Amino acid sequence: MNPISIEQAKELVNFEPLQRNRSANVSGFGEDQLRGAVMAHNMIAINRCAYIADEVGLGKTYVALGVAGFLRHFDPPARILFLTPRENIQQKWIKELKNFVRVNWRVIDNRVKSLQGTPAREALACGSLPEFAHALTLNNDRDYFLRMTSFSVTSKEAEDRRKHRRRIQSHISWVPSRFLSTKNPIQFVEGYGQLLNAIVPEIDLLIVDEANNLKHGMKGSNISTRNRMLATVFGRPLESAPDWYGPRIKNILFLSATPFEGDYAELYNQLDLFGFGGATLKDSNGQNGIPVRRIGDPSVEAAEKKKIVGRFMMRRISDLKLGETRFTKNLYRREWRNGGYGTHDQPMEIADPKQRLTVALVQKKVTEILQDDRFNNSFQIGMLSSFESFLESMKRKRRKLEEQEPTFDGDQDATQEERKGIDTDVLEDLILSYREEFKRPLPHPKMDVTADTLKHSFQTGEKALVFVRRVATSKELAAKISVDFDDWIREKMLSELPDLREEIGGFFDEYERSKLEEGGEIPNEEEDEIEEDEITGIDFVDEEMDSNSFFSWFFRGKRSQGQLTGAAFQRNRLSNQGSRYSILFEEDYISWLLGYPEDALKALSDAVGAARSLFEGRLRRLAFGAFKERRRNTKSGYPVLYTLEAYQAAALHLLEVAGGEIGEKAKIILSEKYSDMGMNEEDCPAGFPHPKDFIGLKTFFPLLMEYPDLRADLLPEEEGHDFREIFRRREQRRELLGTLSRLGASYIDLYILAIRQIGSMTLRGQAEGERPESNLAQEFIHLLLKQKESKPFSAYYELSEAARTFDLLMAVNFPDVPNAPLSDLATIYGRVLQKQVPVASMAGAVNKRVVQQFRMPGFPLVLVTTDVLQEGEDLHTFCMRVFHYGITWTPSAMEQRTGRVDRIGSLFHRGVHGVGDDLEGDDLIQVFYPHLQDTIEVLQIRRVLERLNRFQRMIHDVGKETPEYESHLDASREFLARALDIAPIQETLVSAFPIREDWLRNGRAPDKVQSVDVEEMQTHFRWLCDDLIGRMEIEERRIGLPHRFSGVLQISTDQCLRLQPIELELIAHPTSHATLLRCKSPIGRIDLRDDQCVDLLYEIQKELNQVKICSSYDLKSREFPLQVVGDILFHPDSTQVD
Amino acid sequence: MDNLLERIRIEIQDESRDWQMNGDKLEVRFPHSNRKQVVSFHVREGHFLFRSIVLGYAEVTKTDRAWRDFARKVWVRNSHTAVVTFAFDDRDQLIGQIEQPIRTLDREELIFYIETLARECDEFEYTLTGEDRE
Repeated sequence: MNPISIEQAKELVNFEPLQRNRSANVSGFGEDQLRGAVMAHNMIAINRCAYIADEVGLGKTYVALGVAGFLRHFDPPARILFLTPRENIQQKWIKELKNFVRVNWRVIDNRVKSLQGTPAREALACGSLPEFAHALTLNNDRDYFLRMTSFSVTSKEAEDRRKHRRRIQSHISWVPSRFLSTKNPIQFVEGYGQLLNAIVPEIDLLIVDEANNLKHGMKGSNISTRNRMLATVFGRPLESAPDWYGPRIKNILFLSATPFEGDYAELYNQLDLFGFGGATLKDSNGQNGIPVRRIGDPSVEAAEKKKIVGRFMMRRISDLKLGETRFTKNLYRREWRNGGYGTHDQPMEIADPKQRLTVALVQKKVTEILQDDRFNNSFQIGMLSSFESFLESMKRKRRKLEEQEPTFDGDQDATQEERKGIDTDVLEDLILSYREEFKRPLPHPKMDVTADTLKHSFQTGEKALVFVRRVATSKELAAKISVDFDDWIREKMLSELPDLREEIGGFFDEYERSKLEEGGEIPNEEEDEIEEDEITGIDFVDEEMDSNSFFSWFFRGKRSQGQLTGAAFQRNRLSNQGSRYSILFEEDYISWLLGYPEDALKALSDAVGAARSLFEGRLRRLAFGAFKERRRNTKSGYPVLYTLEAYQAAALHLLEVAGGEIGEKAKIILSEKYSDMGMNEEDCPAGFPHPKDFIGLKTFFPLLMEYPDLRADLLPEEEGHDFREIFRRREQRRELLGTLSRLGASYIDLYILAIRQIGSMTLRGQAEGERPESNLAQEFIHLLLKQKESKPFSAYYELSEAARTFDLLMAVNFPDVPNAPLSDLATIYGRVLQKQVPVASMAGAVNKRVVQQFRMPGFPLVLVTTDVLQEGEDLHTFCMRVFHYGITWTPSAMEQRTGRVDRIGSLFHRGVHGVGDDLEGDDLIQVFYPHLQDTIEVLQIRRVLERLNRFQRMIHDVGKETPEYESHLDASREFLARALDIAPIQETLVSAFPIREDWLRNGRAPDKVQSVDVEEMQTHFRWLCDDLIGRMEIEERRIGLPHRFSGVLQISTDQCLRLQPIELELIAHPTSHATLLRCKSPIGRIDLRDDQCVDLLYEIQKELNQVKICSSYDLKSREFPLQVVGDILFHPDSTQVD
Repeated sequence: MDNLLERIRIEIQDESRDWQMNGDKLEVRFPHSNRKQVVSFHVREGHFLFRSIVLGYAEVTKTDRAWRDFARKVWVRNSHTAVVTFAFDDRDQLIGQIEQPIRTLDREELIFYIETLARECDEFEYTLTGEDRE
């Protein structure tokens, strides 16, 4: 591995591509990321290790991907492995890899980026160690993404150990079974790791994300199973080990915004864990090596340790230049450290005397329990449940202590009792007593004030990210805020549907009744009235009745009881292909191509050059033929949506045949949208609808063209010359807006408009007129125009923001959309945007869908979460308010939490671009630390903030270091202590480990950047395919992709004519820069578990001269689809059909 | 065939390649792992066949269950392997193979196929046995 230069790096990667990041509205980060990537790469080249310790949100992931890209480009066989904290972060990395390769990597080189613009190597996330082992037995040359949690193998019970042994040994069968002893947990873990080490290949670069999680390394008497397993899997030196055992990591790259808490030794621990404890760190000239273990040596001065660390660590800091002023992170966040919400940095006020009495009573109880001998006046920070909520846990009352579910999420070291909350028991008695006496729940002032503050999100659309510690708090707080939203929606419906006040009131009464029945559903008395096979089900999924909010119950729930609820309208009208509403958001491609003429049918017949009277008949017959071919399984009748598709395809076909520029465009639309529709004229029955109903539509998007300003906001013109690309992007935008209108917050407005037109909320109610979809579309557009003029959160806000930030949303939420077939878009969007709620909660595990929705401009507006979301996920696109409702002990965790919304491309960054240096308080990212000053909670807030300040001083060159702190507080001492340094640091931060020029120089002869001539490849490929078609009986199928060919080979035998599908494709060879031509053909499905099938296949492959048989496993059908595949090296100068 | 072997001998002179001829077979060495793999050359109907043995007959046919298990693994492995075909030859040996028309084999292809075949077969052999027999 040789160091590289900035110039070489610039040829390969662009961290700030012009054409795609405009909606992020940020600039200047790209150059910094490039320098960071080069520095990290060169540190690895010299010292085999590097630590990217950039502040949260500066794109460490992309910098690391840049490093990986440089390595792979100049060394194509290099193996790279990614280690992430958890599953959701694994998936995020894979998503970012795809984005990075598609958008940022400039060169199609078949090493990083394939001809298709996708990663040249397959990326695979492994959910467990046996899964990883199995994957390695198949292919060492993928990019593997592992998670740290997989290494926490449960080993306390002998049965667990035996189970693990069975699972792993099936993949490494040549190691004798007696090798892995299950007698002793520690020996078992080490043996397991050594076993896996046997098949882990040499890894050229291991990238460890959030490496701070491993800061304890192999130190101490209580080494975690995870760390022990990691160490042995990757070959940390052992005193005695089997022959195959050895180090597997050549180079390592760590990532963390908080690489250590208070001691440089934690860095040594991380290196040592992976076998780098004996390494020597050189300077940028490759000289003057110093043993890395000196940074773990307590006798070495801090200043010297810092110098050593500087040989492998870099830390970029967020540096926003606005006008003439430089803002570092601490300066563009407004922190509310004194606990309140109303006036900046004032304490939280509790006006109600009863609530103040409650606070005092609870504090008395908590103080009493702390004085118990067990606790001796001290408690661990973040582990008192009373600071968060008083919700009793029903399950806790019924289970023994050791079986109780944790009260708190997160990794904080805690005893069993601490994880339960040491004040929980005594509070439960208090809560029950209050409920019995006063017949209502004990109020929690902090929660009540917080809920009251957050309810304003429904008016303003300002999102809020609320971190809690207690699992139960996440639901309780979300439920409390949802009640406010229910009130808001009641008012909205009553004011906008005044004639239906009685019905609306009836719904709310029914909802309240259902809540009282403990979540039991009031039985439906009528069946749904629509046939199942006429419902798409793609963008609407039945939700189990959720009694936590009226919104969920009414707009998402199942029940209808003969009434047109929001859910019923969605299901029976918008998603029902038989309803005219099903085409509300469909486009009329014919009108679009012809410039939206007044009489689209006439314009079409003119374009085709046919007399109208004859033309319409022919069009109708073609459409019927297309309808029959695509919808063979439809029961009687002509569902509107299917008929529209048929007419559009038929008309496009006629335009294609007519030729010219419009014909070319029609051909492209056909290949993208209707490639599976055959075009045969068929005599149609009298009942088949006429063309005039399906050409010249007045649905939402055609009507939108009549309002250019609104259209520019919602569906801006695409730039570029490639019509296919323009069309695809337009469709991607259109489908997104349509899905948001049906599933998002905008649906509330759409539903209310529809009901107003229908005039009733009965299931069978119908709007007047033959074109209810046109009327609704027109009304919706008028509403959007009105909303454009006002500020509050609305459908216009949601849809226009989605349009404005389209590229950003594709990158963060829909990375597969740019390359996906257009027929998949509704499913891709629907999967993410379904089941939205205005207030969401999360605990225990990450709900990927909710996270993705929070990144959209609509619902949820408030996300209440435990520490499951504190790292890894980006939540910055539409949120700049963080509430640390439940405090956490470590600065790293606090910084990670706030960092969820403080990242490149965030709402904040987009908003301040062009503002100048005149930032007001409300323009900044808001960080709240709600607490009551009159409680013990103030002590823990104070301690955490002091630690936060200390960390900042260690990792930046600012101020003096302050002493270390412990995670336990002695309440009696702390009350008497002077308030120490808890105010935010107001100086401009300077990194203690900046990017240095000496690491950016390339001292060796540079390797040349290599690329593939894509056009030459594609031209030759096409020539080959045409030659093939000319020589053989092959019918080409429409694919429209320049590097893939799909066809059917006709083979005549004596008995019959056989048809065999084949596919040709140009692909990247995974360990070189070569391009391969792959030919594959399916040959059927068998059950490989059946010995007879295996025997038969074995003989066949011998008879056919060792043909390459490839099998996989189809989870759905539980069968093994088989293919025959052949690859050859492809070169435009030499590859021929022969 | 002689022409092919002669071309290979010329490539051996490139010091960056750790190849050694043993008669009419080529031994490809992998310095970083101290392993090696033998590649043999055959002609069939106007095609060169580059072959390398992954598992010998004895290992493959040890038991009925064993060879079926190998077969299943082979066909799945094929799905994840580019260029190289894993299959069983007439002597029930598990082999890796690449086939190329004689007329159009150029230098780049020759080197690429030999190196790819040797590497893939060596890795598969290690996965199945943990040893370096072939």
